[in-house]
Amino acid sequence: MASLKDIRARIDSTKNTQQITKAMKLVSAAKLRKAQNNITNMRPYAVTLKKVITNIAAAEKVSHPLMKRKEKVNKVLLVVLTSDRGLCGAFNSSINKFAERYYNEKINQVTKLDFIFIGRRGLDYFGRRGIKGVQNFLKLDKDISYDMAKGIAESLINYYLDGDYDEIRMIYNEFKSAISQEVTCETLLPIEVDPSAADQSKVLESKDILFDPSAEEITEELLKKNFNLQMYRAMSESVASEHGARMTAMENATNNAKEMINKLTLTYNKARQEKITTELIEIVSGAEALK
Amino acid sequence: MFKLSLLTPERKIIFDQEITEITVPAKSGERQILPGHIPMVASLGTGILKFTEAGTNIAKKFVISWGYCEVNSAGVNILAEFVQSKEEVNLDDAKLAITVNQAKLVNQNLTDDEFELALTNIQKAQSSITLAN
Repeated sequence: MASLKDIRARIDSTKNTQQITKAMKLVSAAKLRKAQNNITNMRPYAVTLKKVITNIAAAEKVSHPLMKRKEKVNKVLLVVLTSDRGLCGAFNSSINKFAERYYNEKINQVTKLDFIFIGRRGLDYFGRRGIKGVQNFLKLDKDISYDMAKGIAESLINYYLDGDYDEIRMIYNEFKSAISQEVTCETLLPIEVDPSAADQSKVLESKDILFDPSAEEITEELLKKNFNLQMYRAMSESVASEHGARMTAMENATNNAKEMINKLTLTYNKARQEKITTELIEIVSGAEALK
Repeated sequence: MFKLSLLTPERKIIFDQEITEITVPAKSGERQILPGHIPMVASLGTGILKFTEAGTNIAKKFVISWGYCEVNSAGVNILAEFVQSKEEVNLDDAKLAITVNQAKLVNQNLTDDEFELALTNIQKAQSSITLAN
């Protein structure tokens, strides 16, 4: 049986762990609020942009290589969005498992299947399995900015337009609520625009819409901008999910630590009482022997 | 009177504000938009955005860079990547940005994109300074 000193040491170390997990939980909660704000702030922009694009697409019948669906998809690029740091429950492992399953399913159906990793966790996981990304983006732990998302989006667009890939898909955690995230696999390119979704009265109005510069140029830029925004949205959702997941994980860890401390304290007290009893018996029996 | 929304991906600056007139820095030159303008989509360059709120005579100004302006019967939607109000302008930063980017233009071999970026940054900083004064 462990000595009293050992038990005391374990209680102390568990208390330290509990303090750390508690602090991490609070930090995550604060960051989560910020990330959630980010998502809400972006929403009006995203909605307006989408509306403008659908209206133009419906009225002008413009087509663009970014919107054209390839007949046969042979070359697929998979963007795997994870976090840089661990200790956030199943956040990263569910993404990695999903991506691996997808990879195993698709690898025989297409001629080329490549990866881009955003976040260190995905990179490491697939690195151990001998899969390297075409391009990797790390250092997400600081706040993500629109500029950063824009940079990533632009390199993806270039891959697509150069004909390196027929389809670009992204796997990321969608933010449902602070306690639940959902692994989502989304087609990033080609961009799907549904002209029938456009507001009919607006479409009639935009028949004689004025473009400065030409409609083609504007559509191209708007599509690119929309794509940047999609990227930014996905990254914001992923960051919010990460903090949500970490918050839950740390909450659990704190509770577990508390339980552990209770158990250890009980054992400690039992051991202490036992020791006192033994000592008492020794004294009493010593006194008896002297009579 | 019509409505103005000024949005960036990171924040909502103005949403459904009633205004009487607005001047936007389109790429092809400044454009003034009054109520009843025909539907238009224009791409915006770097410059100063100016509008008058309904019921006042004071023109509000913002520096904006890269964006779109959609005009429809209901109002004007401006989607910009960079927006700065007068209060947010930091003169020292702006002056520094001009010196740094000018040095870049003169001394380094830049790709077209980098050249463009440096030029935009200078314009942005100059507009900020104009706005602040």
